[in-house]
Amino acid sequence: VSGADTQYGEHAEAQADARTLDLQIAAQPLDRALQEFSRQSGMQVIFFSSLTDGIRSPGVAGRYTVAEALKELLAGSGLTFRLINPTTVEIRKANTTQDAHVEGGE
Amino acid sequence: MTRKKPLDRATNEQAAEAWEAFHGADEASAAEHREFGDWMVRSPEHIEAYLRVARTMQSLRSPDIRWPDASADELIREAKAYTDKAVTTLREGALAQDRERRPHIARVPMAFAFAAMLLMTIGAAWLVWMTPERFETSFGEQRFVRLEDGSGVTLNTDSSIEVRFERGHRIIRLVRGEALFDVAHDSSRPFDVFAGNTILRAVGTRFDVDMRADRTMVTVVEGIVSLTHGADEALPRGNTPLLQASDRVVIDGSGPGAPQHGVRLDEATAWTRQQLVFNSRPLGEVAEEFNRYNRERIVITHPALRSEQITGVFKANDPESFLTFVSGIPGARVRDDGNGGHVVTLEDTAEVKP
Repeated sequence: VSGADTQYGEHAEAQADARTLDLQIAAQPLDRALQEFSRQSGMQVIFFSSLTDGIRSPGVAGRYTVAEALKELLAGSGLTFRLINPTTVEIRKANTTQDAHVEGGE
Repeated sequence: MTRKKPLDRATNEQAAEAWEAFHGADEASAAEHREFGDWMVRSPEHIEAYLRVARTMQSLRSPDIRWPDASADELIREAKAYTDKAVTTLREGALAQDRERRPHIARVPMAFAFAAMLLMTIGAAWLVWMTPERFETSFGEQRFVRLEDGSGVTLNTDSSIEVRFERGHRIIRLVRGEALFDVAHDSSRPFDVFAGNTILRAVGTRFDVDMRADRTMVTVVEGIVSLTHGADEALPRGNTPLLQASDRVVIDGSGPGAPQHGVRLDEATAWTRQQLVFNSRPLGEVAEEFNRYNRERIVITHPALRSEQITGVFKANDPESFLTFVSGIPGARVRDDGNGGHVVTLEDTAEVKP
């Protein structure tokens, strides 16, 4: 991305490259964990609210790339993410819907 | 300060009551005078309502005051000219009077004194509202204002406030838009925010008032705020609903709703960081939030699509990313509206499936 956004300068580098971020996100409902991720990383986040209903996130603590962090945050949820542009993450259902149901089953 | 819209019924009733109090069988007490004065300075509507009642009643006729069917401004001018010579009478007659000691005060001088007092009050109150300090933001702009008492006001896009500080009272009128108030503590000088028919009183606290065409939303961030609406428009007292941190009240045409508790404050104050935070908000409303800040309007027309609940965090000045998300929804169609904006529709056969 060419134009550095000065307003959010401290997070401007937090784009989806190999750079790592120091993240401290407690285990909590997934929607809140994702909003907290947005706050700490400077990434924009968007999703249909129904996707995260009743789902908790284990949280993250430590240094992660954006992709690593999102994988951890979404672990066991049956959800995945895509970058709709370098600063924006969309949370969506994993394509392999069958597998998603199996995951986390006892 | 002309006002075309009709005065609401509560205001008219209060004005009539005030008139009754001052023209009934008994002389009004000093306390009643004070109460009347307080009520009068709260809003220009009050002044106008009182003038209308008085005019209707054909009262307050004296050789010096015509009570014409003139404009409020004209009445005020006359009142001012008149009260200049009546101040002494007023002091000796109406205000400091103890009725028990002098029970046989003559009616005529008393009425005369009261008329002078009334007009002085109206004149003073009118002037109060004629010359407030005004702060505004234009579309897409935000502004922080430090007031003379140390309170801070953050104005959101396309917003306007009028500020009037008096000895015992801090009066803010939210004329339009949204503002976050960070109130400096001063228990001797209440801080009242007028938003339409609603009055919010704070002593030392932080709260957001978001006024839209169809509703006003009040969210308390810190401290306690009392809310008064419409008919109970006496000064806020103990029996008005006390709102605490994380409480929210939405006031619409039918008045204030029940307070919601545990509101997410990050969402309510995100705009001060130029952010938009959504917790399960309909997609159509999310688009409208972006439209408050950006000329590149996004309009979502399809009802089912509009009502889809969205959670997210965005920069207020990045509608493009939001539009990219929307255009990725299966069946969604984005077209230019010919004015640099976008209209989003849904193909007939499509169902919204997250």
